[in-house]
Amino acid sequence: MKPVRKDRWASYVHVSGDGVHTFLQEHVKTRDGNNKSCLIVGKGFDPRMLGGATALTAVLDPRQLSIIVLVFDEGPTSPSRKYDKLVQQNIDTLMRMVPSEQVRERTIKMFSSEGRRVTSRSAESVFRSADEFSGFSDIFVDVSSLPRSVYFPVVAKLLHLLDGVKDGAAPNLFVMVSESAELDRRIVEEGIDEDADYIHPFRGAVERESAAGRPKVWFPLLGENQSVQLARIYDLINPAEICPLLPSPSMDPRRGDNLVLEYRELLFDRLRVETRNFIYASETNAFEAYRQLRRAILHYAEALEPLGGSNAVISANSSKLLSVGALLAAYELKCDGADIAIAHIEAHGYMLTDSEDDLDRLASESRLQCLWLSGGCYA
Amino acid sequence: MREPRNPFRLRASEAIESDTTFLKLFGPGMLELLPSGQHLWDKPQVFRSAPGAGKSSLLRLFTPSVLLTLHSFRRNDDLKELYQKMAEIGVIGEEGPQLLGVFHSCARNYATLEDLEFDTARKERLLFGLLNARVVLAALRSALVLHRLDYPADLGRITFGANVFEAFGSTFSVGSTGEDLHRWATKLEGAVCDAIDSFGGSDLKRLPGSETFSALSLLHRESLMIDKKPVAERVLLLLDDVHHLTHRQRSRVLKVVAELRAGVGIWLAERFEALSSDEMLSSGMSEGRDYEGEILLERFWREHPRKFETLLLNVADRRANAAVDVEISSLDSCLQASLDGPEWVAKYEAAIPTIRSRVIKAVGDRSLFQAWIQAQEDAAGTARDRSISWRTLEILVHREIKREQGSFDFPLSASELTERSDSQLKAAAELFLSQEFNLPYYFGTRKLATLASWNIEQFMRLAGDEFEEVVSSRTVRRAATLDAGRQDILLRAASASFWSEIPRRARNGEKVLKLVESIGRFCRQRTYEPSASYDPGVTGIAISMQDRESLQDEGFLQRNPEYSVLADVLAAAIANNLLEPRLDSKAKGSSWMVLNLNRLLCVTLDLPLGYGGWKEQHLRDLYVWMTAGYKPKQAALL
Repeated sequence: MKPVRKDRWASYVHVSGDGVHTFLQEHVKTRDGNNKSCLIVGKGFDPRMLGGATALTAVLDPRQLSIIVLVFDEGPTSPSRKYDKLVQQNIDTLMRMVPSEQVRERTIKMFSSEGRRVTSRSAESVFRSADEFSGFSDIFVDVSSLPRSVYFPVVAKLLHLLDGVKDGAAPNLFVMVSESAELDRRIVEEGIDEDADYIHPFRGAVERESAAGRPKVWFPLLGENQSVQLARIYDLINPAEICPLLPSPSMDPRRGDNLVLEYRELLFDRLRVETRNFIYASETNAFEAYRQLRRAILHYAEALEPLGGSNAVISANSSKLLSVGALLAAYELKCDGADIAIAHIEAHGYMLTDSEDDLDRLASESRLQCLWLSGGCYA
Repeated sequence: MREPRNPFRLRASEAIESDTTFLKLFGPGMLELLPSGQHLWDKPQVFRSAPGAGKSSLLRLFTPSVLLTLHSFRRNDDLKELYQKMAEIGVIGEEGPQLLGVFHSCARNYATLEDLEFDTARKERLLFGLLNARVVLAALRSALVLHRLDYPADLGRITFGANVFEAFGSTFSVGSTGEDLHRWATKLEGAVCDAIDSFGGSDLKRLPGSETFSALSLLHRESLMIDKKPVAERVLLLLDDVHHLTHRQRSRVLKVVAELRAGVGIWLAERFEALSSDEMLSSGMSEGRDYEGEILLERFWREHPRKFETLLLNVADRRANAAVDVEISSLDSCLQASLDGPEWVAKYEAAIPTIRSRVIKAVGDRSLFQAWIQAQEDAAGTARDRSISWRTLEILVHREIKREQGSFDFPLSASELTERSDSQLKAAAELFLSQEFNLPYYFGTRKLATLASWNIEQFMRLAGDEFEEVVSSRTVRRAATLDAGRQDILLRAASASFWSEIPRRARNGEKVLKLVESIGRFCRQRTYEPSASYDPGVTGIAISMQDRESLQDEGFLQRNPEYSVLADVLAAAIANNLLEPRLDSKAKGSSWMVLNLNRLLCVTLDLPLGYGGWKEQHLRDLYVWMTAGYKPKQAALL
């Protein structure tokens, strides 16, 4: 492993709730009046896909906002197809927010011709050059209605492209996410894939025969109702050591305990995890998750160096906010030459467990988070 | 990691990191799967099954570190039997392992190569390049492990036969050592993986590749030497997870393997999901087909149910023995196996008057059944025997009444009652009785083994639930025996959980659930007919072999797209072991593909666990079941 530089997001900008509006207002004031913003959202039935657009159109002239809608087709038999009407409603609302010519779609292929998952590779190639963003001073990625297999490679690729801009005129990159525990509880994955896989471009060295002797250390970010997913990710990795990350502190002070209870059998009886291996990070702070993961991964790499090093694998079956922290840790370590992988398992689609009637109400109660990942404030 | 409290909960045995623990938990009965004779070592063998059937564990058994451990502990009581069996097939001897097993999992990034923007020929070169590099690396490491040498420090002691240099062409010169091959393979693997894992993948075009699977040249006795002596008597390549390759890659690799000259040992393990819907629908047990070189695990165990039961009980005892908190030598000793104990007498005694009065009511003023009723009134035996006999009589009475029209009202003799009360009918009576009077039905080790549906992981899950209770009972100083009622409750909970996982587990999960649920409801409807016409019950359906062929016919599916979905859903159900296929069953002058429910699914539906009863269905009915669900024409008995 190469020498690791200072953690990039030791200081960071993260605003949430009402603070997002104030922050965006202030931010818009600081820039040239001719500058434009680009918002990237996912086309989905979750009304939270509109959260970022609503916040931005409240502070920006709609003519200054371009929207790229990422379209991912889960196939004709996906359970999500039941909600095509809701998807169209969301798109219609979006089209009313900005002039229609400023909304463009980009398609992400989810399956190969023979039905194999190709989502993350396809998502990574949606943006190929930083030139695609010339004329934009800010790029916002609203990950609220994007699956991890899409927003992980998209955000990583954007960071990579913007990091490669040499003349210092790179746009700012923000990630937005609307968090609602109730909506998350209602939207469940269905038809989980038989096998987990690594997200492109985070395969690390775990699959290499030349690195087979190195112990694999798995850092699963725990969230509710993920036992099948965790078991299958475990089967993929077959780690020597497991360090679960619990969301603690959290709004519900018992959440961490409840998660341990939920996965008691899997973690302790089947996988025999050591209790001292648990890592904790605030459920509302992605950057803390980033810091904790980064520190733990580097610690293992150093401790296992005499054995030839280690292969770290992260999986983020947690809230989207915390998963952004996992992505930042993986991206930074990958850039520094570390062997880091992100394991993930996809589902055939999503289902609502309850009625769809009060989705809009729940979405309006969700809390918008905005994370500034690269650009002016880190210069 | 900590010691296991409940060893049944340990994940698949390939994840058990200690070779000693792995060996202690390994059931030697798994070796029954291997065909006898030299073909095992000089012809490719394909192991195919649903997940959790034990393929990877079987392959792991032949890897160097496991064989060395087995040799070291060959006199240990727990491992004697396994050692003996392995010695019989020539894998190990007093002097040590005789086989170099080179294990390689295809669950890597091979499939990703197919997504690169190259022509097919280039992708194939990359596939073989990567495969060669990885098999070479695995072979070098395994060879050193087998000889207890240091990896990579001792690579220089490895040399190769002329055929290896021939196979790799100009890549190596004669005299190259393990160090040279290691360096080449590491570099090649690193270059390909770095390029695949990069943003954009711009430098992919310059990647090295190979024309064919040259690494197979290492699989000859004289190909791989340490200090100029063959590494082992035999070399065996163990390719696991072949289903992770794309269809094109898989068929290319299988083709190369099929074209191999005799004398090369290679075992391939893959899940059913590697097969297309068409191939999947061909995967049932068929009479008279030649399966040489192809071992279908579920099919084998279905043909040898006693061997499977012995294997499971052996594995269960080994796991029970490994528990650290309790001293239990066998799971069987912890599970109540019959309802003949005094605690059940009152329940059975209470059932008799109810059944008796129902029988009397059904008979009415018919003189036909007088001798039967009298014989039953006079019958001796335990309360359980008598209640089952009364329930048997009730079913027979319903049968006679059903066919009463046109028959002569000659009184039926007591001997006819005995004659007609066969074991199948008694089994149905016992099932009905358990449902009507809330008696446990699913208990005991034999039923536990049957509920595995030929899948070891499924057995571990069920046995783990029961063992958990045993361990907990010991912790609170209660008797460590699990009564039949508690076993029944635990197995019903496991069944409910298994059902609830279907939509999440299987592709087209909702449709699979709807179809399987419909089949289940149909089976229940037929099982609980008052006359128990299909005693002891119906636990499966069948489609004609002709319909099955239609589901495999691309033209038919294009003309009838709804059946294309049905074919995919049936294939997904079979691949996930929710339906157990059996081809070419003969009945009513035709051949049928029988689809039995996974036995664990039967529990929630209160169905028996035998495989006898099935009922034929048309494709159009199955399509309706899959989309709208099964709607019974009449109410069930229960």
